[in-house]
This record gives sequence, C-alpha cells and structure tokens, in this order.
Amino acid sequence: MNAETLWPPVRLTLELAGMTTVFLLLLGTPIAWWLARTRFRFREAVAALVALPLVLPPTVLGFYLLIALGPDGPGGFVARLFGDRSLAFSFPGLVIGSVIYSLPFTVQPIRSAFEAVGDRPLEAAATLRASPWDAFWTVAVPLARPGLIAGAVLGFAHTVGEFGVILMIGGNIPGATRVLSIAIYDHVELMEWGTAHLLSGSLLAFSFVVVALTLSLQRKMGGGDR
Amino acid sequence: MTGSGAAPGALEVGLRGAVGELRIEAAFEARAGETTAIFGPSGSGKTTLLRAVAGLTRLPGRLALGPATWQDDRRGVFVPAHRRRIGFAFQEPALFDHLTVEGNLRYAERRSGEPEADPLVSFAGVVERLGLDGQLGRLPRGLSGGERQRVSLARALLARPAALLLDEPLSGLHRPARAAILPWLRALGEASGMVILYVSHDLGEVVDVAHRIAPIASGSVTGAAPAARAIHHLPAGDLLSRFEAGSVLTATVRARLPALGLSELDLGGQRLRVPGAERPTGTEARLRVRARDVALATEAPTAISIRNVLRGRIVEVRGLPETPFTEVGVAIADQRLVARITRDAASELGLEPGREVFALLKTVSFDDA
Repeated sequence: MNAETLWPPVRLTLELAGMTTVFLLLLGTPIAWWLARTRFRFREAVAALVALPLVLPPTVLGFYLLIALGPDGPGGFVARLFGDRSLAFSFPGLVIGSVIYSLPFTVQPIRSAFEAVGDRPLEAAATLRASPWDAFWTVAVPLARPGLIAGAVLGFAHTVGEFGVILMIGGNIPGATRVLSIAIYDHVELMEWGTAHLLSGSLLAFSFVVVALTLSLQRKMGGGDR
Repeated sequence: MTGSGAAPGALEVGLRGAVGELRIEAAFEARAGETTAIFGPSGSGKTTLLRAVAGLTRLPGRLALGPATWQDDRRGVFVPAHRRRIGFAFQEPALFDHLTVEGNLRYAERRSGEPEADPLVSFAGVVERLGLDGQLGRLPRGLSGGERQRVSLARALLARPAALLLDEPLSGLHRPARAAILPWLRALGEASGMVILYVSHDLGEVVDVAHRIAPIASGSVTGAAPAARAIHHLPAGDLLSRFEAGSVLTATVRARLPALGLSELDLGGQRLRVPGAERPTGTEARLRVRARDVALATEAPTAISIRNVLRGRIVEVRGLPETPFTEVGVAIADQRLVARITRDAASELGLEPGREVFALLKTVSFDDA
C-alpha cells in the first residue's frame, strides 16, 4: 500500500468525473430545457430514452457502447480521423460512455428545476426586451441554479461510482482506464484488503457527502418556492 | 412635450379570434399620451386581450404602434414580445425572485435601450414616487402583495415603453395609495406621449386614470370613447349591473373651509360645496356624482337640506329598458351630469331635451376620497 499505487486510479477517476460533468452540463442542460418547455407530442418518449441507463444493466449498455466505439462503429470512424483505430479502451471512450450512462442523473433535476421556474418569469423578461437567449441566462439559469448544481453533483458522483460500463468499454489499463472502482475490484481479487478498505471507505464517505448535499439542495429548491 | 422614451404614435388594435372557450373581438385605437382603460367585469377577456397586444398570446389580426407594425397576419408579420417597445405589469406580479428590488428595476432599465436617463422616467423619480426607497435591497419574496405590485409597475415604467400595458396593476393597494399613484401615472403618460392601456374592473380606478374608456363585454371591444362620455353610455344591462352609473365633473377649488370640513368649488360659474378640505385653492378637482344621488326640479328649490344645486339644460332622456328608471343627461356649462329618476317622475315633470332644470346633488365626493 503506497501512494504510487493508490494515486493514479484516484487521479484518473477525478479527471474522468470532472470531464464527464462538463459534458453532462453542456449536453444535459439543453436537453432538460427542451424537455421542460416543449409541447412536442413525443416528449416523454425522448425523456424515456434519456432515462434508459437508469434501468438498463451496465453490461448491456457497455456492450452496445463497445460496438459503437469499436473499429467498425462510428467511434472507430472518429478515431481514424485522429490516427487511432478505436475509441474503445481509451480515455475519450470512457468519457463518452460515462456521459451517456450518467445523463439521466443530470437531466432529471435540471428539468424539474426549469419546470418549476414556469412561464411567468420568462414572459416578464420578454416584456422587458430580453431575447430568449438573454432570458435563459439571466432568468432561467439563476432561478434553476439549485437544480443545475444538483445535476452536476449527481452526474459527477455517479461517474465516480461507475463500474460495469467502464469494465466493458475500458477494460483495466493502468493510467488510462483503471479507475477507482476497478482498482478496488482488483485489490479485492488480489486479497489486498487494507487497500480495498481504504479506497472503499473513502468512496463511502464521499458518496454520503454528495447525497446529503444533493438532498439539502433539493429541499432548498422545493421549500423555497413559496 | 415628448420624452426620449416617447411613443411614436397611437396603438391600433384589430384582433379577432379565440383562446380556449373565450372569443375575443377587439377593434379600437389608443392614442399617444392618453390612458385608455379597458373596463369590464372579470372573465370578459381583458387579460387575454392585453397579452395579445403584448405578443405573449397570439390572436389573429393586426396590431400597430404608430409606424411600427407589430402584427399583420395578412402579410405574415409577427414581432415577438421582446422586440416590442412595451412595459407590462401582470396582475400577479412576475418579479424575478433571484434579484433584489433594485436588481429587478435595473434589469428593465438596462434593456430599455435608453442609455441616458429619461428625465420623465428616471430611476430615482419612479422609485420615490412609488415609495420604494426603503425596499431596494430587499428580495421580492419578502414583500407584501401591494409592494410587489408597485415594484412591478416601476419595472414596467423603467423599460421606457412606448406602450405601457397594465393589468389591474394596483388591485392589491389600499385606496389612498392608489389615489396617489393614478393621477401621476395619467400625467406621466401625457408628458411622455406613451400609450397606456389600463385594464380594470374597478370604475373608481378607471375614472381616476383614464382619458378614454374602452368597455369590454364577453371578449368584445368596439371602441374607446372619452371617459366622461363613456361613463354615461356604459350600457345599463349586463356590463353595468355591477357598477354604478354616475358622472365625473371637473371643478376648480375656490376656497377651503376647514372649520366646516368642506371645500368650495367653482363649476362653470356655479358654486359647489364638497366634503374634504385638503386640496389647495386654485387646483382642479375631479368630482364623482352617482346618478341615483341626483334629483331634478323644474323650479329653484328653497328650504331644503341639499346644499348643491346646479342649474343646467336637459340634453338627453333615456329610458332604462326593463326597469322603472330613466336616465336624464343634464348639460352644466360644458360638462354633463346624469340623474337616475323614475320614469313616472320624468313624465310628470315633463322632462324633455332642451328644458332647463335644477339638479339637486345629494352626495358629491372628490374622486379619490
């Protein structure tokens, strides 16, 4: 048990979760906004598609992602543009998989927050000559801030705790795809109980803090709304 | 005089369509520098009409403010709400809860497109006039209903609109507070040349603020008439059943009689005494007289308790269908007073247009009392 074996998976995990959270917000916020505002008839079908990773076994999702990211899928096509063969078993591949896997955890709270904002403040902004884009940033986003924070925190935490999808599409390459949850699995396999304890305990504490934080944010959001 | 945020002209409204169950049919013009009240009972479509003018709800038709066409379905023109020079105060104030009162007002001011403060609608002036000095740092959640409405009105004004659209903007305020704001608003509209559309179901409010009244009934508005005339002509039937017919007279305060608690006013050379001695001498005051508080006599009455007797000439006698009453319009100088008396009395006294009569005013009150 030393820093050299402990640190790389932790760092990789934080990098993955951080990067994933950025993309989750960039992708999830417009989706959440659209879901909250549209009158499109098949809106809930789109919502179901976004929520699918909630119920799908990670291995199933991982399997399809493996094919999509592999040399014969669209991921392979993209990889070839950068002189690579495949996005599977690479860090960018992990980010893509994590974004899809954690998307519902980010979209749901943000969508609820946008729905709670309602039409009125946006109409008021329009009568004050704020364009829709202006009103989105100056009215909708600030009013939905607790939901955005909750979405980011949950997306980050869920990515930190990811296992199945990563194992399927990333394997276990030290420094490239060997994240915390997989490192713990390895340590247990090798009967290194002490290290497994340390990492697991840290994740337990981290998860508790995250859940507590999110709940209190959601309480604030719900209770503050008069 | 025309302020920098001034209106380019009159607002022309021609809309016809349905929102849900409600049919709207509106054709009227609201002039620049005037306050036009859209007056009618709840459920008559006032709010929907105002939203359609703002561009928040879409109804087929045409809308134009001076040379700017806001909507013309025949030419496929529809200017979205945020590109119309409007200010809008919702009946339920839609304040931004994440901003302080000042933040709300600055939000409007920053987007008003008027880099230099308009002297007529300055931040400090509006804040002071609406009594918001002490509230600037507060968050909207902590405000009372009346305070929220005042912030909402201030915010709409600071958008420096060419057309100010107000939906029962002062319904949460007490009468004295309202009476202090309405004449100012009316004067502000006159000075800045903006169009003000004022939606209300309160006749008192309408009389205080409006130059013109556009009655609305079951979604239908057919025109705006000068307030003094419109009030007499409000139909006695369904629309007015809940409101009192009456007249508004303008008179000049000639003397204050604090000992008696009265003011003496001059109306076209005739004298009136009205309860209340607060108004300064020489100012114009608006008086309200309910039609049923006016009696008519064909000879000068003597030895009666009624102090206010005005001499005038009958200009109109109009029976109120399905009631035993008749409304008699009496011209006094260039103004008009309405009396509601029984048909029986009218025929017995031989009241006809052209006849000279004495109007006995049982109760006269200052309009904002």
